[in-house]
Amino acid sequence: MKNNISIAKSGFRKLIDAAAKKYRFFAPVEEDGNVLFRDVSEGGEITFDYLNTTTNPKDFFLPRFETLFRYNKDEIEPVLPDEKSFVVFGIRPCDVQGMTVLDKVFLDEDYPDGYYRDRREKATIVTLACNRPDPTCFCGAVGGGPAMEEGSDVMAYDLGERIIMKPVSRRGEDFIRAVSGSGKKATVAEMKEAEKKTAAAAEKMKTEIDLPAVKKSLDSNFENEFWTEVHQKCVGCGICTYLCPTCYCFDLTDESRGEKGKRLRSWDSCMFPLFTLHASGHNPRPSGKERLRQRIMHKFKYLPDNFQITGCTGCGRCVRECPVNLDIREVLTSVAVIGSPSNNDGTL
Amino acid sequence: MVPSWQERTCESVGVKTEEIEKQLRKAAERLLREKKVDLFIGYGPSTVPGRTSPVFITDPKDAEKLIWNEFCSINLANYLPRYFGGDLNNRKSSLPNVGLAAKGCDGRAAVVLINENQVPRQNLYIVGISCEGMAELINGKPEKLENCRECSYPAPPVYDELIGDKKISPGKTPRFKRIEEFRKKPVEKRWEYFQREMSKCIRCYACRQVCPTCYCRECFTEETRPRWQGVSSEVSEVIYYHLGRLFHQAGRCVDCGSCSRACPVGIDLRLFLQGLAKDVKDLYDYEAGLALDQSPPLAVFKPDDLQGFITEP
Repeated sequence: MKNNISIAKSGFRKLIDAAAKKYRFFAPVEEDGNVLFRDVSEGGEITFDYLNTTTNPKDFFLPRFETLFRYNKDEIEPVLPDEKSFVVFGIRPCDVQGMTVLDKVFLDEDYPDGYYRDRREKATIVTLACNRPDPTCFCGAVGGGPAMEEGSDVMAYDLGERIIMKPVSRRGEDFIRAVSGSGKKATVAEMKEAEKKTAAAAEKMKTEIDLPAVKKSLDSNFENEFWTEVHQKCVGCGICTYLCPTCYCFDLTDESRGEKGKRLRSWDSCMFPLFTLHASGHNPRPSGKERLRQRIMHKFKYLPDNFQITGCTGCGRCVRECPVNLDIREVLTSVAVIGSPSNNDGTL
Repeated sequence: MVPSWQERTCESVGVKTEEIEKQLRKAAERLLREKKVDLFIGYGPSTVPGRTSPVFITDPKDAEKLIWNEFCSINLANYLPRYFGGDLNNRKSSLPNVGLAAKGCDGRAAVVLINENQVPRQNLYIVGISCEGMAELINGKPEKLENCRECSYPAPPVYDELIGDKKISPGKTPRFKRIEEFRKKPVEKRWEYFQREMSKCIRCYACRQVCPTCYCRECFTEETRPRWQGVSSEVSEVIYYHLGRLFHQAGRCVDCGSCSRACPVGIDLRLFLQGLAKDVKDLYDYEAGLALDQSPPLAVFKPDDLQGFITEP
């Protein structure tokens, strides 16, 4: 409690300047109608007025594409990581939950991913709790909440004129120590107000999803007419997976000219026809039916089976941005009752 | 009780849309009941305000699920090629009969697909709708879409039956106004704008997937034998993909605006497509999807074609 600080939004630049001595500082910036994380260490105007960033912060740890190494005949030239630690301010709790899913996969004891681990260890996550969720937000239905602390280093709360920051990890304490000169101590009243605002936000979210019923149904309905019906409107773009904070499927590609080249890792999507296309030409997921099923199965069966975690954090991006309103909440509601009398026609 | 997010929105803007909705349901019900079509594609309500969602109806009783309002902007012709195997020279023995609710732009896209041998005319039943222009919610208020404000063909040029008045008045904003303004800028400024727009791209391919006239079964960007382009989102790669797609739309784009609306990062694709549409109109006096006997200008050769672009090496 004694370490909680309160910073005037108008004086936020002071905090960034203090932080910039030690960290690169990323924060949400409005750019051509999008809200994106940008390095504001040297300048740039932060926005505090956003539902969530347009794309999601998994990019910091699992970039859209990255060069793993370069090669020249049989010589390998490693790509060295950026040495400086960085702060990401303004991640929403749902996206932090996405990182905890990615952590399970990429920080696995037996197969840790060095590239991912390196960036994760350099990062300090300052989560900005939500006061005004959108009707498409449903973190509460998948085990999260607008003030969920898990996975964060610092929790920040928006009190209108001021931002309150509370360290919740050792890395978070280091950060607060580095910037404490730019704010004052948060008062008990301020902390209470922060709590009240986020509790009110949680109240606003009405979506309920029966996750155990979904899991149970998926366990026995890999083959079901349901999948033929449900994918019909899907156009097969990558919006839902590319904007998803937990989708981590990637592809490895060599791009070379002569004997020189580089190995790239880039995002892949189960919605794409190239995903799991075999060299023989066979594809175990030849149509939209199998692809949508894979997306749902991965999030709500395979991840729970393998890592005891749900692959959805309720950020709502896939709901908001789907061009044809294939709403995952509706899919799950229908999945939960496959075969039961309340779902008499199996359609959405 | 139905949770609030499941209360599907179904905004209506007055008597006229309600009347269209009634007639549309009637038509779909009749077509399915009389087995003139096996499937009817139209609009249903959405879980997100200011949108609609496609519905695929096979049972005449379900015609009640169809809605019509100012948010029916999705181009439904996009769904047609999948029912016909994509290659009509190699067609399956029996093809389904499909009914389609079609505004001007859906209808024009259907005509392009028919002319390009992707959809057999005899298997498509077009229920045309004279469209007063679609809207999107901006700060909670419906605002007419840019391409609808500039629409020249609000009623489909080809249909089997039409709901509404064929002589519906076109959009009031002059077509090509924005692209004409844009072209007055110096080339450096235009290039800068193009690059800035392109640099937003995350390569989700939503622009391609929602486009009714993007139906290649294997897109050049995804071909692996040989691989034509890299997988990164470096701006040169992104530009390569978009130039490939945009130029492939010359003389084929029906200006439904789907690509720009679907783009999750808001790339202004329509502006560039308008440039190509204007060039094709100026050079060949051609607009896509207006008649069944049209030959796509870039797919045919005529002895009196403009030759000025050919230069000696």
